[in-house]
Amino acid sequence: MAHPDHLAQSDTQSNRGAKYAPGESRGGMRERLRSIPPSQAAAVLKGQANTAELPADPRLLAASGYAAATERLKVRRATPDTLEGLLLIAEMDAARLPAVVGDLDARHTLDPWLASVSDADLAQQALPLLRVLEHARKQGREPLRERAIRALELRGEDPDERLGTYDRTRDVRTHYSEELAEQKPDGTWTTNTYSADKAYSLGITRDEVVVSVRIRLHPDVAAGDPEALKARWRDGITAVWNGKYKVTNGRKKLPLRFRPLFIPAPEPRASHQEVRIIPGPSRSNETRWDTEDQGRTTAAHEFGHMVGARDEYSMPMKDEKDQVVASYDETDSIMSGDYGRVQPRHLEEIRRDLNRMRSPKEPEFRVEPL
Amino acid sequence: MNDTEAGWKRLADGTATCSELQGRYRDGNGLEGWTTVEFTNARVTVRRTSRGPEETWDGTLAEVECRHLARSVLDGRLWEVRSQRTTGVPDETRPSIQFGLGGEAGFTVQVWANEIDSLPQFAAVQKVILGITARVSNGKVRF
Repeated sequence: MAHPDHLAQSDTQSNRGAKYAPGESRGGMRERLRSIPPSQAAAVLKGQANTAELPADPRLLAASGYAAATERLKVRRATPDTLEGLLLIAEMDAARLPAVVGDLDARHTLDPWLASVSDADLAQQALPLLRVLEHARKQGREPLRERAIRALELRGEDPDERLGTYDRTRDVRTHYSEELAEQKPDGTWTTNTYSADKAYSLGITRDEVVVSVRIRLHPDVAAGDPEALKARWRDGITAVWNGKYKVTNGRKKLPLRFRPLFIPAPEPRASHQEVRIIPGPSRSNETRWDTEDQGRTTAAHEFGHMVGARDEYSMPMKDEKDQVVASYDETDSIMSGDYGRVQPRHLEEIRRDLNRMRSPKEPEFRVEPL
Repeated sequence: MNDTEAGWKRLADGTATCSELQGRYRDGNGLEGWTTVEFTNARVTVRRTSRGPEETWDGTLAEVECRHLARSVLDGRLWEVRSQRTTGVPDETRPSIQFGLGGEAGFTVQVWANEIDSLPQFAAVQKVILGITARVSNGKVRF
């Protein structure tokens, strides 16, 4: 998305007259927007209107696109009410508008336009996501809350950090190594050693324990569409890792939420992991993901390493002389080649780190299926 | 010029026959399977294993491919390439190239996959081998 300053400049240069009628106040403009018939307004916001037949403001909206239009309003210091009032026009019966504009916590003020807005709009910061998140949380509306969380996560932002809902946080970074067996062409066995950093942030909220991994992506030239890859990998990782386990200590039962936060390479925000995107198909590993990697398999497996889970394929079997004589794989394991499920043993490092965060009299946490 | 260099120069300039080349390229791991490419008697055998049954393709090593391969080995002095690391990152493969000429033992070079960008000599030979692999396997094996 273009920077607001750029939008403000183009506004001044070419579209100034399109927004306000001569001598029109902001309130007057809002009234005029509210007078647009809902059917026409919906088409405008979805970019489907025949702009030649519309008055000046909708033409501006249609020409600029939804996200740019809302940015223009922000640049003009429009209040959130103005933005949301504008959005409401798309779905609301004109007769109901006066009752709902300004009543932003009402269920029907946010959901209709969230339902009509694309994920791309959400990802482009076109909506006041934190307000949506608070609203959904207050009303216990899980699907809406998850949508807003997803949109924030795809921007590399931690929703709980932004909302200040963490009671306690802890940054973890520990080096580990593992040994895997390899059979050579002559039939003999050898081992290779692999090492990595387990690195993540642990956060405890009133409702859950969040394991966030900030992953900085370095795309190779022409290595696919980073936004589409981020969405595919984020959705795959969360589908495999989330909603499966909780931690409990007799007093609290907190679901474990895993949060991969992809940060574009030029951004200076601190990261836990660096990943290079390479053109696929290719061979991936923890620090090089290829453009054909799927979220539920390769990305979910590599994410496992980032939170401290070890490989569970080609594990060495040794004889009494400590010589490798064969190898074996676990089954039904995301850390094995069958890309199965997350198992409690994969969460052992997290459980240990979590217990280091306990207050002195708090009992130890253990991991249980959700 | 040592014996290794002289041998590869003969293969590259066509004074040695391609049937003198023996070699094996191998890459993979237990997560995503293995690719093995063997060069024997001017023939190429490609094997791919993953979770299913092994798949095999067999074909002739074309003269032009043979000379190109020899030239890339010679230009990069592949036999001198050394890995700079003793450990990998999780799931990083460790591709190896083993070549011999006319029955001589030859050499083996093995590097970590993430090192290849900084080892253009290895990358060049790997690219030629994978090009041959893709042709012989009708495009089924590309890495």
